[in-house]
Amino acid sequence: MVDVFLGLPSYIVKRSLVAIGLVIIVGTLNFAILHLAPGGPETVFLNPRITPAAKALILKQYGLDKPIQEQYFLYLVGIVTGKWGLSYFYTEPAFDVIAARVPATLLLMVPSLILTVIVGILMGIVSVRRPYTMLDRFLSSFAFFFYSMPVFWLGFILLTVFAVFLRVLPAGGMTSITTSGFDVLDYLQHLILPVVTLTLINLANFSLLVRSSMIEVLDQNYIMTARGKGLSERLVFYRHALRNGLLPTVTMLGLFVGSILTGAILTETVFSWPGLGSLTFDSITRRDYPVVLALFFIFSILTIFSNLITDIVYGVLDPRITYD
Amino acid sequence: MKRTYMFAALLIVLTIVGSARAFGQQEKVFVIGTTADLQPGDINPVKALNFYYTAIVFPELLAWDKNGKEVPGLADSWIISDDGLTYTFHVRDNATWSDGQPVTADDVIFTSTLESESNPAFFSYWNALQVPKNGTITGVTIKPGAIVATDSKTVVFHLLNPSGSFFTAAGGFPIFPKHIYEGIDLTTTNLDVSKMVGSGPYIPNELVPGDRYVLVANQYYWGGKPTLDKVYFKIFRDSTSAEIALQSGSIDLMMNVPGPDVKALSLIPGITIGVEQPQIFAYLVPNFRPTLADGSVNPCADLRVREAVAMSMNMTSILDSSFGHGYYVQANQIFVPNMYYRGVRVWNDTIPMPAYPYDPVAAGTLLDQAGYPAQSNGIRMKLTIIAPSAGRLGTVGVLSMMQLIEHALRAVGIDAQMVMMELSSYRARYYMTPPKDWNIALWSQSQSPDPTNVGYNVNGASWNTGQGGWNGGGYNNPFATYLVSLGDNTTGAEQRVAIYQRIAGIAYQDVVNIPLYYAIEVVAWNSKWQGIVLGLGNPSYDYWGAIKYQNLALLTEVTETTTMATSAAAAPGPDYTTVGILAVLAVIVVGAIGYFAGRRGKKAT
Repeated sequence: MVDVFLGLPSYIVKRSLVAIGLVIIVGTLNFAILHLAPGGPETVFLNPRITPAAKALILKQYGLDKPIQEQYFLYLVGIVTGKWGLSYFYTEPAFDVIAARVPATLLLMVPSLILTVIVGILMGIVSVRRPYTMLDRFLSSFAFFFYSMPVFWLGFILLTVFAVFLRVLPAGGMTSITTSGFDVLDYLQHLILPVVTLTLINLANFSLLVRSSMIEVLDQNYIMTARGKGLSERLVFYRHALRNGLLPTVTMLGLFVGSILTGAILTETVFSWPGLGSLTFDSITRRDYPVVLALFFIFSILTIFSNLITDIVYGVLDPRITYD
Repeated sequence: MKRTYMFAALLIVLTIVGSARAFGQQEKVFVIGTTADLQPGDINPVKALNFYYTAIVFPELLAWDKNGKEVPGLADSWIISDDGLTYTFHVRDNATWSDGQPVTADDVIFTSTLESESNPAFFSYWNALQVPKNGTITGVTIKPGAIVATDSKTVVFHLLNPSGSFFTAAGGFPIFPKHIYEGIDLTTTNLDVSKMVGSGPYIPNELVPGDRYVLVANQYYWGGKPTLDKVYFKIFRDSTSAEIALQSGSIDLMMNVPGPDVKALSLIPGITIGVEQPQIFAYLVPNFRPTLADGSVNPCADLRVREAVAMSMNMTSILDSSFGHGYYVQANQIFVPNMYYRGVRVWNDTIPMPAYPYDPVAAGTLLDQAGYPAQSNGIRMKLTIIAPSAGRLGTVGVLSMMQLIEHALRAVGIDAQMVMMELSSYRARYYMTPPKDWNIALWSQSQSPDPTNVGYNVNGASWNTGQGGWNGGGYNNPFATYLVSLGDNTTGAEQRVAIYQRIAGIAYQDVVNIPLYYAIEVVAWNSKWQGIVLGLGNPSYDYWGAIKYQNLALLTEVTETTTMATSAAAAPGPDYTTVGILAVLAVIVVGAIGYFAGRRGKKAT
């Protein structure tokens, strides 16, 4: 363990520098793709009622009259300073627009993430404890069944069953429409269906990974040695095998954090959840450049740095890893 | 292990049963489901691109009945001079803002000036009063002295020239409070929704972006105390989600029900379906220019080709297949059937229905005459049709319609390639600087009793046919352009309507556009509500009339024992019987899995 940390600071510095470079490259690509696409926010104003002078004034207000190089430079400066510009649609700072949606997204994503990981790992463990049995096959089939299902379809089915037929859960939204103030139970009620949807869809990522990884680990010589020493099966499994078997899960987790945000777009659409996913979709279709670019920047940062953290944690868990 | 499974089963049961709650409400509320996102700009006078929500908070001087005849709104009387140059409106004596201040003529003057100078979308509605001015967003302003207040409640407009559209424009504009908005740069600032002041039956109270918009009753409303305490607009990202919410009782009314869903929704007990009068005209716009952007010849510049395209399509059959019988109106001209100008119907009865008879043989003959005979592979020409994949025309029904149109055109030898693209790209392509790179575009127009906007279809002025112009096809008939200008300047209702009927006739003869359908907006609501009236609304801005502010103030709920308004009844509660049965089943299934898994585990060891 000590060896791990000897090279860690320089590793972090190196990776951080690489990450910054990645962010700039990704940000540049985002900017270029967005501006190269035909159309733009000015198409909203292209109608006979607007004079060329008025259109020019509006474009000036949005900074769209500047040369593209200048817009790009301002965009890069904005990334560093946090001044992401004024939303064309909301007429509010893009930062404020996004910040208002972050709590909703965290409320949806964090429980989904935790539940997916826990249930997925548990399912994988249960499967590997009873390999090739009916239970194992059932759990694998269960995971695949929901993995192959379109998320919006599953969401609508759950809504129809629980909100329309049984009327035990609300029909979408983050809170009851007419509720004011903070009602924890109300939030929890509204959270159930979207979290269950996201969890079911993503379970297979972890359960099958844990299962296959553990089967491989349990075949290793050191496991045989541990058994040969007379250790109980429970001790062998949980003390010696599980930790190594979970290593690939750590990698998956890093990738999952980045993808779950973008994957929430459909879930937020189905459940009318006012989070970042729906904001992303709406901003793209509206060509609300400041908000879109800010969101892409956030997603890039999350993905890049979650992978960095994954690498660090991986090194802590696996003593074979050294940071050079 | 058995205990683990039993515990899991118990947890499932508790979660389901424990989650059941009745959705009781203490206030009288009405919840409207919408798929249109609401943002502060919707109630910002110079930002709002439509005034549907604004009109609830800030009523207009006039209102309109189902025949497009003006009735009192914020103004209770008006006088138009014989020469059409002077318009006098009297604001109701009891019209009051929600902060207790009276609505005055100064508010009307302020609104007119604000919109004229700062609203790039609607500034032209004050055209007859404007003079150039540097420094304003629009480059114009109201001529000093053109609008005056003769007393605190009377405002007089002195036009520089006659304007046929001025009355409906000025009378149909939301009026904003001068004492709240004056001095604020609304191009960069939105007001705090919770502190807004309005004169309508409800005023904004809360706006949660992407989630909901809340209005509360205005105790000072001049139309009397509203029957509801609150009105909610709940935003849904998807119409299916809104339909589920309607069925579950979470919302009371859903706007813009997609055509394919109407039949299924109408079969559900407790849901009423209502249809708006059609105010949206969907059509194909042929490109009139002789060449395309790549220099190739544009076949659609030839009238015979345009006629052939129109006659190749059996629109009745296509529309029935795409939208379902009864939820569209087949179009035959540029005006919607319920277009009335000051009570006079604009519809041209002489144009046949369907406008162009389905006759593929005749279409083939026309194409032969135009110089496009069928080749050995049966193809006469290739055409590019552009269409949006979102918005009003990006629906499943429209996609189906366009696919059927493609097939119909191929049957007469026209290799039509439909290019669908996202809305912004589509608009950029439609509005691109001529020459265009498409032969036909799918387009739509929201119309109102005032025919002014329809004139944009045939107005051949360069600003209208160039980049950004509505006349994307580039149709240029000097006489039609003259008639449009004449119609704008004619104030007599009968005379003005006659001009536009003539324009409709010219558009039909020249196949300026190929009419497809007039969209019917379908609205669905919980049958427990009384007083929902659909129909024509503000002629210029909230063209899809839906439920008007006057109706929102009068809604009542039907109960089992009385029809008087009562406290809002609780939404239907949980189905405990079914929940109980499912819970028992869940316990049995989970328990069985655990039992058999345990037995196998013992056998294995």
